[in-house]
Amino acid sequence: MAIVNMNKLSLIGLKSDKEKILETFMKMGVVEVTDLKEEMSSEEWGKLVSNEDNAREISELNSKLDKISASIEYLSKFDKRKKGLFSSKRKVSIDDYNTVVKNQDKLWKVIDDISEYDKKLSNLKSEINKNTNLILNLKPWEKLDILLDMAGTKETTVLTGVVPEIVNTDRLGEELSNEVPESYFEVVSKDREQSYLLVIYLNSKAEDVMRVLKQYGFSKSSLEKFSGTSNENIKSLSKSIKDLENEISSIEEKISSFADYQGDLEILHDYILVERDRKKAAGITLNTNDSFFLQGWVPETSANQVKEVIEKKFDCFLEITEAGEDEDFPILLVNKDFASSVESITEMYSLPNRNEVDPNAITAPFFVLFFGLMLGDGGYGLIMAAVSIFVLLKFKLEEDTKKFMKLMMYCGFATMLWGALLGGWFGIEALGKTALWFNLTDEPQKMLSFSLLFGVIHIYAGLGVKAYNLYRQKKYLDIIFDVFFWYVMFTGFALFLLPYIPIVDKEAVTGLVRLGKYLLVIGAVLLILTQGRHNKNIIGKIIGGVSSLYDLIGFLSDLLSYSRLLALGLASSVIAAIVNQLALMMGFSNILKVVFVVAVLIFGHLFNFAINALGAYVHSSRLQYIEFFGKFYEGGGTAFEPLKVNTKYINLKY
Amino acid sequence: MKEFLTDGNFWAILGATIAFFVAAIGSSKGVGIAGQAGAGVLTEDPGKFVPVMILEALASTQAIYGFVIAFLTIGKIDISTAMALKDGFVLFFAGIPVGIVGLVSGIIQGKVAAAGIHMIAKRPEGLGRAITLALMVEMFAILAFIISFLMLGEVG
Repeated sequence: MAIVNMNKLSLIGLKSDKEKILETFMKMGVVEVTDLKEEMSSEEWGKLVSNEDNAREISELNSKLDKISASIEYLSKFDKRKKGLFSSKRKVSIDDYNTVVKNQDKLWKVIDDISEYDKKLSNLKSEINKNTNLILNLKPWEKLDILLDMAGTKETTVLTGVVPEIVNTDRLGEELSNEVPESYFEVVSKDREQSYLLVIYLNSKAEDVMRVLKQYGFSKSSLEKFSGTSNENIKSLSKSIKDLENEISSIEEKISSFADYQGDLEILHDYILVERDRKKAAGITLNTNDSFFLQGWVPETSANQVKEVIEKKFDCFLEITEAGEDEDFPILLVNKDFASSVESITEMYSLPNRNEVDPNAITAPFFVLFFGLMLGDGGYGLIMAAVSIFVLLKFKLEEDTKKFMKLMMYCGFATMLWGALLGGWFGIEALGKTALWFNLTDEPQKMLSFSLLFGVIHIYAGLGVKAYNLYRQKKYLDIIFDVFFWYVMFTGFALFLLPYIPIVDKEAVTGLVRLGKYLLVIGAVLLILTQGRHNKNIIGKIIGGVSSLYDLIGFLSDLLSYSRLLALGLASSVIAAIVNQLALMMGFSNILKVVFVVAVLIFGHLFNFAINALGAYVHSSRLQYIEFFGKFYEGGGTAFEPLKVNTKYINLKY
Repeated sequence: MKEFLTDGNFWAILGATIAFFVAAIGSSKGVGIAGQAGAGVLTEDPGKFVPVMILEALASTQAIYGFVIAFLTIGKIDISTAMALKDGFVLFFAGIPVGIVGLVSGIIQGKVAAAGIHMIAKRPEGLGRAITLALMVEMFAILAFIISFLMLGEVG
């Protein structure tokens, strides 16, 4: 399968039908509405039509969505529903949906209440903070049993204040009693930063007292704002904190009583989300006084169905035509199970454009096999396949997650295959002999040679896809010039290099090497003659032809790049063996050691698996992107984004 | 002293040291650079943890290659009997490609990964490209690993 052919859809309808038509499109979910703003800028169109200006409506809907989301998030703290590791959208029947939408006023009240309570809660919390701080301020004065707001008697002054912790308070007290005998001095308490002091003196001696205190860096405290003793104050503050806390929990209880509404709020959220999307689509259509015009794309396969439904329901002019030869339509990929699993890999690079073949079907086997070879250990593959099969069967998954899990399953199988071929099972050396092909760790050179061979196959496949693309575009001569000639030269080059490959018997291949030389020369001449053919003058043609030979260097570096197949596979199997070795060093003489051995085995293999699975994934992707796609892939397609019921929480059942 | 230097074991152990020690410095530095960039991005958008983590981990492979070479080298050492000086030298030189190339490519790969992290902060869909750019640097560490490995194979 491949890229879905798109048809162009143009519709002129009555403005009064617009919302309904868009709603129908949404339900069908197969029409992408294109933005016609650019058309507006041309004078011809500008005079005739105008955009519907509903930006304000949309932003209102957006702010509504924010409000609901906030409430939902708030309630989710009290949500008692079980949530799985892989959560999927809840199914909601159309009746339930309609009831919720009809009674949305009640829900809006709930939302307002929640935000009201939320405000109250944050007020209460800041009140508690304030009180806690006050208590912290009073704590050092706890032992002081005089009234805090007492400034003194008629003849005396009562002064409270602090000096820094480093001040020697004994000396301060001494000096004070020497200078002003008519004073009372007491250190109330002391902490890591300050000493808290009480000084009582005759008013007439105020100046002298102040002079002494200033020397020691005394600063007045501000306790006058309290009335009563500090102990009383602390008690009453603690009590009010307790009251506030009670109030908070009672409000939280009230909010949690709304928890039942969470499901309904989710439905309302999605209802407004859908409405917003429809308004957005309405905003990009063109309007006259009574009619509107929209343009869009619809998959060829759904075109008739759309035409039927719309024409039956509405009075409108609907035209569905095939896309023009050079018109870029949005890309929708439809692939069989196996090929679809690597779609995300290809999409990370780029979507194909409409003129080329969807590469997923041919990428899939290469990706999976290279992944397997680079992870290399059949034991890891077994676990990977088992886990992904379990997840696939046990959980309901969103489409993307499902594809990824399937990819992991296939990668697991491929890893098992390579494990069996090369004798790698959890790095257990004794099992190396079970290798069906050869033992990787014993004969790395052999694997290096075959890695390069796999590279040749992969690159040739890439050129093959290029030939197929050219065939589809009916550029038959280009197939010979741009693909076949390269095959000739690359093959010559590869044969020429044969004696340098470690496992090849140099004597046996002399004939092939001679053939390679001829092919190399013939290929080079043909390419020099043809590769510059797009240049205008003769010098350009020659330069273009000769410089194309530089691609030979590119071919060589591409090939060497496949040596990573060996390197990563080797690294993971050697590390697996090392983990086993380290674990067994300890021996099994007592139970503690057995536990230790098991722990080292589990964590070691888990680490090795994680780091190498990641490595295999990214390197296998890279081999597709650079070495494979580089040969044929143009990319640059934009994804098909049909107008559809795009929800966050629920799946509507019609 | 002379006895010491003419024993292949000494050179072999020096090779293992270079293979791991030098390559691991490169990886540490590289992962560190990418990690700092990642932390900056995560303060803005904690949701990008997974792609940032993937990019940060890329530069760690150099140390792994160095580790494998060092371990295999150690496996060939038997302190109780003298090793031929020739073998010792082969093992010594085998440690150098994976070590030195690991040092340089680790640091540079870390820088590329950091730039990639900044890129995905702005365009999350660019993850594939960011990884590919960083893997371009990895190629040289892979080649160095293979060369070191093949050199090890010369000693029985």
